[in-house]
Amino acid sequence: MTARARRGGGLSGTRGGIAVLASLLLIASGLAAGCRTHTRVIDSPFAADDEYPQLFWMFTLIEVPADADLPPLGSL
Amino acid sequence: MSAASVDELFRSINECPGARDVFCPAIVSAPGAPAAVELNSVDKAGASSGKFSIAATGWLDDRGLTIEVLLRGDLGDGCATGVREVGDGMALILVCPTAEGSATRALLVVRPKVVRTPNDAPVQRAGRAG
Repeated sequence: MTARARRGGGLSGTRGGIAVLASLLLIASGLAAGCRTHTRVIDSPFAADDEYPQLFWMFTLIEVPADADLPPLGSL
Repeated sequence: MSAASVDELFRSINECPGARDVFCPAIVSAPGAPAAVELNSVDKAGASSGKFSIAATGWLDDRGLTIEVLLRGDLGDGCATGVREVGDGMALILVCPTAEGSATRALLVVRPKVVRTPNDAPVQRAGRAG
């Protein structure tokens, strides 16, 4: 038995692979919805063997006119 | 512009004259570990017109999810949320102040989701097209 198998790494790796696939599908869905995305992940320490829970960050960035009436910083 | 929900926020943005350039990146990170993504704004001719970077860190404890997000642009010094608790399914809005001489401000909607199992598949809801 490999060290990876002993620590359950095979199953964890499968889950990690699913998460990576979900990430790609998520980005693809954003593109399909009309987002013009030109991004480069510069620091994402997620690895295929990482355990759950994980944090999935969804960002939407919009440039608005400087005089637009915007909501204050806060949570919805 | 007012909003009581994420959907209403995006509807308000759709109605905001002059809003443009929607970017919808998504990244995955481990709790407590910083993650970052860099964005290049590209105009219709394909020329780069601006650069943004987002750095995000989230922590999980008994009280839930706490996050800190920093947005930087090439026109200003950037702005940050500070450390804030975010409820499940909630979004956080970050509006960067206007850099001197800039005609635009950057509005960032942050929607973190805790993925606890492989079946916790998140779904990106896009805003308006640029």
